[in-house]
Amino acid sequence: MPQYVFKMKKGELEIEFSSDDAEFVEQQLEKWREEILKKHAQ
Amino acid sequence: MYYNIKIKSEGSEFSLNSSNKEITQREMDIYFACIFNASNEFKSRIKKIEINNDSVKSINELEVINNKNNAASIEDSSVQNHDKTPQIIAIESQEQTEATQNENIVSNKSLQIENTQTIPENEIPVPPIPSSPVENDFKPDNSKKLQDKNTYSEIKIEDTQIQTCANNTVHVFNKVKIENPNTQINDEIKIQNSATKNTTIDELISIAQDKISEVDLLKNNSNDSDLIDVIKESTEPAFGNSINTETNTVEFTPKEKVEESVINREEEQKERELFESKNQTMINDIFFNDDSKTSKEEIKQELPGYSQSTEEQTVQLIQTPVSLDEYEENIQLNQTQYDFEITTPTTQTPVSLEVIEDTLAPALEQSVAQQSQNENISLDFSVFLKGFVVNKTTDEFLICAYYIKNILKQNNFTMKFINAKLFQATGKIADMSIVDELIQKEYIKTIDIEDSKKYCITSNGENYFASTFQG
Repeated sequence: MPQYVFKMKKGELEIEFSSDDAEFVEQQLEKWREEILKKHAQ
Repeated sequence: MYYNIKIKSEGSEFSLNSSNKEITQREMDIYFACIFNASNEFKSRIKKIEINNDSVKSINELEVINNKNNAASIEDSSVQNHDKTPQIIAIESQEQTEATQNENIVSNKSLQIENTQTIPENEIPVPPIPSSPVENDFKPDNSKKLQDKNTYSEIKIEDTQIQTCANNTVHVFNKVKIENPNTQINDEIKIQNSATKNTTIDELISIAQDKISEVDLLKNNSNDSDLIDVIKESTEPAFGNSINTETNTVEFTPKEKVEESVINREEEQKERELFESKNQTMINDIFFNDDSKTSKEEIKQELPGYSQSTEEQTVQLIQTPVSLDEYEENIQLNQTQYDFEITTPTTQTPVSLEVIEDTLAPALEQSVAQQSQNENISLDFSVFLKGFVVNKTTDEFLICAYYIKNILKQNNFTMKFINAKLFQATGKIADMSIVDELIQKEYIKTIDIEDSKKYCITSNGENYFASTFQG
């Protein structure tokens, strides 16, 4: 079973998300990507 | 299934383990607000991050975090997160083993992209796409959609090597490949990260920021002819002396880019020489009727009015209104081309009317046509494009295809070539969706030449151009 870890930082702040739910990770990334593309289109 | 959120701030750490997807759904919104703080140019090239080496280690693994285990509420952390846009994005893909369940154990596979630059509001983030193990688990349709909608390049981390020196300095060598199937630009860089185990987080962030800047520098200058100089400049140490005295190395091999630039320059030079040669021959025929004089300098010296000439000469002409007008017009043309003044038309041998009428008229037509062609060649695409009101990228692409065929007189083009023109004029590049759309409308078509795919505008495309932009 794979595990997916996403980690972001700014300065001292660090956020790490980990899950073994590939479909959920896919949905979140797709949502993120769509938000970005929507902003980019504007 | 499990979902784990871990938030660290100023030495505090909060972890939330849950099997409830709704909790992580809310917290994942934090990620969506995050900005990947590289330039759009860099971000637009990221399609997939692929890790091919089990020994890949992220620079984050070298950091020493002083965990005080002071829990903070997730709400507080969320507010803090919205106030501060996270500037570092790390992607890690781990095989879940007994070892990885212990968070202190180094992951088997990891990649980290970091940047701490301030980003303007209009900078749009592009999310990192999951690494290959994630993509393998994706539904096929969604994976295809990701590829179709984007022109992102693939970034592959290969051949990672780690060396630990006696002075407690750790070197991480990452060979990075950047591939873009649409623009056919395939680059390869080698990154060396060096840090001690006492290196602070800020220093590590600075290192990563420099790495991103280096890649940006190389890519943003990839269209320049003096690319090699840029590469040399970028090989200076990527981070400050405060960390250690080790230097970084960056190798960049844009082979296709350089080769295309050389070929284009050679073609332009050939066209220029051919044009000048034709002009010289034409002038010889008109004025001297002497094939032995082919050099421009010789022609200049032979012509009247040349600055080094000391004596006035006269011409014996039987003047008729028609031939004289044509003759004067021809003189004006040659004045423009060679930038010297002709005061009195003359020849070394008298020119008869028959010779003038027989040679001058067709030669003049040829001269005007060649001059018009020469003006077209020098017409830049950005200038050409400004002549039209264009709102769609597909129209810009089609206009560029028309420009290549009718102005540059090239029957076909590669994606790399047309994107170079488009990028110079519009700052944008075209992806395969635009090509597919135009092919579907039969405005352009593909040509397979010597194993390379090229494109050309069709008659339908030219008709559309004429009706839409010239009608």
